[in-house]
Amino acid sequence: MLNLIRADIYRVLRGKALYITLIVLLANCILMVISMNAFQTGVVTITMPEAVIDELVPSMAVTGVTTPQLIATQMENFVFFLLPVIVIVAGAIFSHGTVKNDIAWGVSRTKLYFSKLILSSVIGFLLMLVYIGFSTVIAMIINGYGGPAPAGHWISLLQIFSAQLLLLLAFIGVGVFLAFVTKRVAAVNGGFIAFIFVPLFILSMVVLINTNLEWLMEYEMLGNIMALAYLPYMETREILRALGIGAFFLVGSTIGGIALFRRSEIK
Amino acid sequence: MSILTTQNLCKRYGGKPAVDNVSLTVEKGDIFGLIGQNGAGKTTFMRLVTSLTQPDSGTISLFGETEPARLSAARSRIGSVIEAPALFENLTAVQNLEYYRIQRGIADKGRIQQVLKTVSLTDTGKKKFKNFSLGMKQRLGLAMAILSHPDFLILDEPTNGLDPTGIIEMRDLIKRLSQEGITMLVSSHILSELAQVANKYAIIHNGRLLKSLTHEELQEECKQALALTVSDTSRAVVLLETLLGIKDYKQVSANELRIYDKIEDPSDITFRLSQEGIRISEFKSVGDSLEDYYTKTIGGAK
Repeated sequence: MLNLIRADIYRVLRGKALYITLIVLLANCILMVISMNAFQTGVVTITMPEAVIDELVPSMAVTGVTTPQLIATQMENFVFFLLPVIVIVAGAIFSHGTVKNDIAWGVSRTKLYFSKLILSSVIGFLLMLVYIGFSTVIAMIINGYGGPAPAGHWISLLQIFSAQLLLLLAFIGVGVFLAFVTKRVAAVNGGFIAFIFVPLFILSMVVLINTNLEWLMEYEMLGNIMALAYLPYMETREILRALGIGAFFLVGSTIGGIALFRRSEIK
Repeated sequence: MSILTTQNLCKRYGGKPAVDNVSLTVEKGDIFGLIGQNGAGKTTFMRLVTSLTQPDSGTISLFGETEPARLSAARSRIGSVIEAPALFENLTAVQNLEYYRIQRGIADKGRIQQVLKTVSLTDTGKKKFKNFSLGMKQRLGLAMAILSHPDFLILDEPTNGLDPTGIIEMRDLIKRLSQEGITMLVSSHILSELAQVANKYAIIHNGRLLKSLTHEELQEECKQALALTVSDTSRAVVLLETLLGIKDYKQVSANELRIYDKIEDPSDITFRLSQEGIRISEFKSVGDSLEDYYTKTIGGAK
């Protein structure tokens, strides 16, 4: 499997797609930090309890210390940058038809699946680091470090990003599932976007019709990524639920994807 | 030694058999030609062997392995180009081969130049696969297939879409690879094309294996001859040998002879035999061209 991943790294680094994704991500970071700097506290979501906002607002000047926290509240935007990663790593073998070379040569379908999942996850993780790190550097260039950081600040951020990472990996898991099951890049794109918006839309409609069902929104992936930005203020039950949802989608999509791919025809 | 053996291999699509009870054996050193019309089941058969699709029933043995895990490992000894060659469009020839070199754990970096030389693609430089001609794509596909020193090569219509020069080059390449000891399964819908390289053939039609024969048997089936129905075959044979010097002939029935020697003037035979009092009731040219034989075998009209 290591050779499969190494070969894909070689291929991905020789294509333009990853570099274009990276450039767009960096541009997004610059624009985001500039807009956060202009509007200062504009990024704090209106769903937060007032007490929490009060606690956060004074520290929301865009500096080296505060920016990672602000980035955590914007992590739902980062989900869209996972889509090109999935297409580049997993979708390419179907769009170019090279998957048949791998299978015909005796590459295990399970190993092939895992190799794409692992590499997509690693690249996704690295892009997440770029997203956080580059935005922080831009903020430091504009407003400086802004320290000293409050006690436990960095540990708290590490916890937030680790929890968010699990949900981001779940999105990657779903994307890789779509690639291996549909074997079409267009279906990956459509399916992934649908996975982001359709549950949100349906749940919102359901809640609009019956407000007693508002608890259903707690099981929506994107909402949980946003909520985890405030992990220190969440109850353990809420954190576990958010992580459980991520783990469910990651494990479920992987098991289901492998099971379906093992039996499927390779065109 | 058997490289590939299939037993009663079946695959159906929507209730229609694509491969129907196909049993065949490819021996080491063979260039085994799989002949059939478009949609006959050649590609499906190859897809079954390479596990791109799963059989509904039947068994596949590769290098003597039939157990799924061992069979899968045995596939790493195969090189294949099924349907159109598939490589990464945005990579060059060298980059595509480097990708497969890394993936297949081939330590020798020089192997890439070796296979490019074999397929005459050493001078493609920075040209990307998407800008290759069809012939170049076929050759690079073949280079990818032979990169890992396969013992068994599966080529699905390798001359499809090539110009006459490309066809000759591909044919020479197949012969050369065979001489290097690679066993091959090559499909085509043109028997005359395969007849120039293969030593064994299987004719497949509507998913069924109609006939399996060696090159010699095919030659025999398609041999051109003069057929004579005469009143006295034993005397006729002596006269043919002594008067006309004919050596290559065969008595096919009590009154019928077939002459395979090339005769300058066939009327000379009838004249001489008649002179000696042998009555000739029928005199005709027999034997099929490869195309005729193939068409007759699959039951189609000439």
